[in-house]
Amino acid sequence: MHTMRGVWLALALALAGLQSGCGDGLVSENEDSDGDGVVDAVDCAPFNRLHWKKVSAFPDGDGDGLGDGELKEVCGTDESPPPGWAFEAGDCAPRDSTRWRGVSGLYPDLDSDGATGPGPVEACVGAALWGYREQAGPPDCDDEDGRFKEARDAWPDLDGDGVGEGTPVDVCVGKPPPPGLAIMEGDCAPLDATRSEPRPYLYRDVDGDGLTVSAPGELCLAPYQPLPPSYTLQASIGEDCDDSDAAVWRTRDVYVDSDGDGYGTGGPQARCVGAVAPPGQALQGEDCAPGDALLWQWRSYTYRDADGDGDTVPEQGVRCSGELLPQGYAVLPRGLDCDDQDASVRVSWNVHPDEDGDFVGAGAAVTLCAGGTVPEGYSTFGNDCAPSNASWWQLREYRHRDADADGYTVPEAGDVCGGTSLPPGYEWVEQRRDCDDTNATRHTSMVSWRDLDGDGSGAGASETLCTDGSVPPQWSTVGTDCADDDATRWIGRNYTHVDRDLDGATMPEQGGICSGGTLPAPYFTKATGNDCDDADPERTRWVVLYPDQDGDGVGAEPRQIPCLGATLPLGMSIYGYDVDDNDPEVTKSMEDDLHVELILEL
Amino acid sequence: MHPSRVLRAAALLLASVTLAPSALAAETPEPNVPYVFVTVDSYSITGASSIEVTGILQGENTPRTLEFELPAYSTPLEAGQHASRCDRMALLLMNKPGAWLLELTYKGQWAMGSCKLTRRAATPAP
Repeated sequence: MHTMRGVWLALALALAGLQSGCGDGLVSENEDSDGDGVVDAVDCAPFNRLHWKKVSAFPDGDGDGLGDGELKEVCGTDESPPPGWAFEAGDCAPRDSTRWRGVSGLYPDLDSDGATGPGPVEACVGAALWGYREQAGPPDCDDEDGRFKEARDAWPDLDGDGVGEGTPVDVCVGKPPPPGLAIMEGDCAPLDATRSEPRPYLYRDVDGDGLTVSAPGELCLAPYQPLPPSYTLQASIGEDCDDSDAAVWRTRDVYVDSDGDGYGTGGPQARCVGAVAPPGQALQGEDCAPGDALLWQWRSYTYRDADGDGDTVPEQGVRCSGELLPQGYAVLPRGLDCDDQDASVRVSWNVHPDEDGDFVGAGAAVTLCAGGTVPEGYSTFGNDCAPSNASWWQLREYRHRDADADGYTVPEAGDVCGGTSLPPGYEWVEQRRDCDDTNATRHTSMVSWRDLDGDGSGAGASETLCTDGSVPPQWSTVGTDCADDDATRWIGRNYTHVDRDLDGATMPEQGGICSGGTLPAPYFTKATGNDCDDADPERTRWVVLYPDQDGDGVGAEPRQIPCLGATLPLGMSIYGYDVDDNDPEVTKSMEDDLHVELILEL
Repeated sequence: MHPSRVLRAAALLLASVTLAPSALAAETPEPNVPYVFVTVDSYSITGASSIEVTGILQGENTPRTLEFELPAYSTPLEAGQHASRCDRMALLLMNKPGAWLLELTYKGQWAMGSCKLTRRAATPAP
């Protein structure tokens, strides 16, 4: 290269010298503007010291060193083309600087998950094999997504119900299948999105009568959809003899029933029937009355009521009947008809003659065949204690007697013939106690005392008298007479004051005396004055007196309290405030009065 | 000149009020019974509304001591005022023995007792 460069440099200098010798001398023929050793005259890039020679190169747009496209002449050097150009072509990815070479025998692993796609393939790569592996890995169901590697089967799902059918294809495990595919197989209706699941059944009940017939099959239903009502896996008890008619389901023998009573005659004929037999036929045979709809079966009876009066007599036999035995036949007795040929009588009565008509008879019993009520003049009761008295017919217990009919009773228990109540003179509850039930005027007991003085109050020991309710003369119900020989005194009274001298003034004294309605003198319950001497009628009171020496009517201390009568002794006064008892002219002090006024005004 | 009877009575009354109580044991009066004192020898205020009087009752010959409750309806002050009017009546009786009769009546625990002063001249002769 240096050799070529020296040649070219000498040539350039020669040309430059030639030009300068022939020129006007303004431009140097040897000028090298970029100093790259190549004069500008021959330098293809006189101002770029890196490029000075024209070379052939390919466009290298991605700058990876390999070009692509048409070979062109560019200004460079022998060692390197200008930027964007390459001496060699063959870039398999002209616009990708990371890939430029084609390598075969690779296996794609675009998501770098270790699992590879279909290979081997030839790929355009760079220095490294990004997105490819030289050895095949496990199959990758989606080489563009590292989350998914393992594949599983999916089936075409044309109706989009999530269940497919047909040739399976691979889809990634864990990844929703692509539209139109389903990971569940077995769509029994590939074109019906409402149904997908085959459901077997064993029995059918088309007529819906609850009885089935064996008819195994399969229905295509939606998931979890139950079998329709007429399809089932469970057999009914017994098989439907006609699954097209809900009214019949069992095979039974039937008989011709001309009277429609449910019982027929003749030989049995097997028919598919329901709860009832077909019209004109019956499930039961042996109709004992084929022409009578009310009678069809034989029933035994043990009692008869031939006269129809409601009461029966024992008789055994059989009778063509309906649901029940006909009238007049029974299996249970009702009464005992004493005459089954006469409807007016049916009861055998064992009764007693009832002479007085009180419905209770007496005497020996007789037996009569009669109607439902007791025969007239007879009674079922035979214990009338008064056969000739209609008011009394039964014994009643009593506890008290009133023999004298005075309304007072004595205790006595027993039984007496009565009616709805006890007869007069007999009682269950005691009335007032009679002290003498033999005498109507004596009935009330009274505790009494002898009242000898007739003052209404007796004395002594008490006695109990049987009376007519009032106290007998000379007797009293009060026994507190304190003086039974004095009609004026009969009660004890207390006194608190006495006036023994009868001067009208009492003195205190307490005691009690036997008296009449009021206390007699000299006894009192209230004081009258305060007798200072009850033995002297002339002295009746205590009086506070003061000696009055000057006789001016006002005395002075010391006071005296003598026992006096109505008059005061001379020389004494009831007043005791004489300030000078030796001077009749002076009784009071003006100074005292002034002092009193002053004190009272305080 | 005699020493002032009023002052003496007042002093006696004051002494009775402030000094030792009466030597006689005080009786409790019967309710609604008028006690008429002819003389008053001693008068003591024993409480806010109680007084103790010693003297001769009309018709009797020995001194007696009775303690009267004179309660007022409202306040202790009113009770004291009520009792103070009885004090003045007692003063008059002690000042002029025989000129007045002092009638005291106890009317129960919840009733206002009464004090009544009567001129002796107006008293009818027994």
